[in-house]
Amino acid sequence: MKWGMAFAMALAFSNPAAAEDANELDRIPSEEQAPQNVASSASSISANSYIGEEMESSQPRNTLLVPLPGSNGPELTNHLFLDSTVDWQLSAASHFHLGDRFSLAAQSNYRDLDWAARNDLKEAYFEWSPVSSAFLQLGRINTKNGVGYAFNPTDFFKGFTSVGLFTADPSAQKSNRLGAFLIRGQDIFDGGAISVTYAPTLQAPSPLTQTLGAFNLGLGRTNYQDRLLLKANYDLWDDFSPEVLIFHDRTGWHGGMNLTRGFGTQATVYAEWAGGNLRKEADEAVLFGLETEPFFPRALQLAARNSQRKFQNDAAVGISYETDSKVNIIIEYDYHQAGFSPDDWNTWFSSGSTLLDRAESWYLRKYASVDQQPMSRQQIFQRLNWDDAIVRDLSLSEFTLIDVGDASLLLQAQMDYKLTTSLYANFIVQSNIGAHASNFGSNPTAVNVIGSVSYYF
Amino acid sequence: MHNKSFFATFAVAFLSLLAIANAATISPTAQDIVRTSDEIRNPNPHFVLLNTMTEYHKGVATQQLSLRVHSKIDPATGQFRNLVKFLAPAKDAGKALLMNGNIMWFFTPSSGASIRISPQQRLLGQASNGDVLSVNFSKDYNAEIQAEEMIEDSSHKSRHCWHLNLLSAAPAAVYSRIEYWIETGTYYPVKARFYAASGRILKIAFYEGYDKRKSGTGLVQAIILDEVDSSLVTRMIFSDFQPAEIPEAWFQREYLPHLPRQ
Repeated sequence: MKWGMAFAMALAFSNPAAAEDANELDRIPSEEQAPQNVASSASSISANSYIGEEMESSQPRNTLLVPLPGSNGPELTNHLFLDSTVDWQLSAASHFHLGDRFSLAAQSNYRDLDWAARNDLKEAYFEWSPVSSAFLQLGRINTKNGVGYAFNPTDFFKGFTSVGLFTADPSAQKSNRLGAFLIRGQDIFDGGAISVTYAPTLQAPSPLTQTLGAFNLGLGRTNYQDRLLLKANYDLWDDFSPEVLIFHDRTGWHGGMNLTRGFGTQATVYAEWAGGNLRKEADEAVLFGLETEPFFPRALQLAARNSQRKFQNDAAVGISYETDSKVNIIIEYDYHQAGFSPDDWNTWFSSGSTLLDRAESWYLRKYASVDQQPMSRQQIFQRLNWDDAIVRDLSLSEFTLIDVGDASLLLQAQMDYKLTTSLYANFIVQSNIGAHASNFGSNPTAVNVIGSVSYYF
Repeated sequence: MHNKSFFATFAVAFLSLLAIANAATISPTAQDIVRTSDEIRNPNPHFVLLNTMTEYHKGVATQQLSLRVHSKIDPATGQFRNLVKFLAPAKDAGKALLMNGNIMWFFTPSSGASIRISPQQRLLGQASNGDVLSVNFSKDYNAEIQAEEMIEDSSHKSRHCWHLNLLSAAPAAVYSRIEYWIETGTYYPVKARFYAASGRILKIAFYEGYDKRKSGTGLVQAIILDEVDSSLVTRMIFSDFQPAEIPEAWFQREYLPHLPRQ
């Protein structure tokens, strides 16, 4: 037997092709090593849930040209949450979808401890499909549009919807938000699709500074105005299928467009545009503040001075490139005409000198943040993601958001590791860098460190 | 007598030459072999199946994916378009992928949005290996026969194969070159090596097991050896095969959120 094996090995080494073949066959694992089949059951109800535990430590900036109206001390925040989605197939043509997050948040400034429970009903809708490619949906639905990564001008339903987020990562913001109560009809056909969405007013707008009750549905955030969206795309020719959007809300009519195109097998370019007759973002914030907040007497003057509307453009153009080594690189340029210009920033830094102005000034920034709009007029987004980096199941990523006007930046480094098929760990360091009189350099938080684990079941 | 013998010899030689010439004309070309083999891997122009994919790292099973795949030939290109719905594990359930030539969209239920991705972008580890199976090689590659030889299949059985060399002939071809072994007689694919433009070998596929279906013979299992990271192996088992009428509208990106859950 030994002689036989020795002879076979000698034969293999004398024939490189045969040795190569033998080596390939030796790498095939036996079937007995396979885990049990994990195909999901044919039940009419399917549910996916995960428990997340997140801890954040934030380090405040020592010197702020425009101090915060309240305290700005170091904080430790903890989130424990259960995120669930349930799909219930009611019949061959209808189903019900539910998406919910229940969280317990504890916050400490190293002296006092506050904690709060909160339930966010993210989605709850009924879908009926009278024919295989036409759909009628009714209920709370997350409506997302846009092909950009950091900024989505055509994502008309994004404002005021974020749900308990630590990170400023744009992709995380898309995954954690409240839907709006709406009705939508959609027809998908050979070559394209068309849809119409209507979200009615259900409640007066909620003040941004107000903390919602534990089981408040947040209708004052998601349904404080009537909104109508018409959307269509059509395959005009090979790999050219523009998507056109027409949107109406209480500010008036808006138009939008999304385009993507592949270049070779590794690159994808994309462009997104939206425009409409709008006030500047700061003026919209002041008007919203006047409508909802009791502390806005002087803002009446500001609003009167700056309430003219004009056609404002928003755009995002970028490229995504995947290398042979599983590294994905994204570069994106964002333009938000209604955002702060360098002159607006100078005004902002000079106005924050009295207690009243501080509150107003920081309100403008909070409004832009919850409206998910860039604060400045121009920014560059760069992202790098490396899967199976160094060791298997480890992903390393970073992104940088650069304010073109003042060269300040938000920098985030992230590490994700799969501990088991159900358990994942995540570690993030986020830093706002720049001069004192700059967009990110004036952010009250200098550094955030976030650690989390998630268990899927 | 002498004349009779001469004519008999001449007739035999003439008939032999005819037979050889006839045999030469009916022996399949390399392109025919690949085309027939494509039809055996995917005997139906439109079907749905369950792909259970097990990933091995250093010989140990580390993860299992369960995917429902809807496939349909695009009459314009002759290539399959694929809709992939992730059924398991829990973290990935509900995700969906549309592959229409080089146009690919990926839907994640957590964001509720579809993003455009490039064919190179790897999704969920070895899931991108799915393309090895539903590609019609005869459409995008020019084939030539290198040799006829005996090779061992994944079960260590010797098989007499055509050894073919396939060179990309269309922009949609993901690989620059493919070495392909097809069993003579049955036209069953046995093994393939896939190369990048740089000449680097990217993956090796062993095709294993064929079952008889109403529409013809179909592939049961494939084993993919990752040559970029040689510690990785993926075993794909195809089951629940059913011919299915798939509406054209399903191959629109807007359809991804509506794909059947099962």
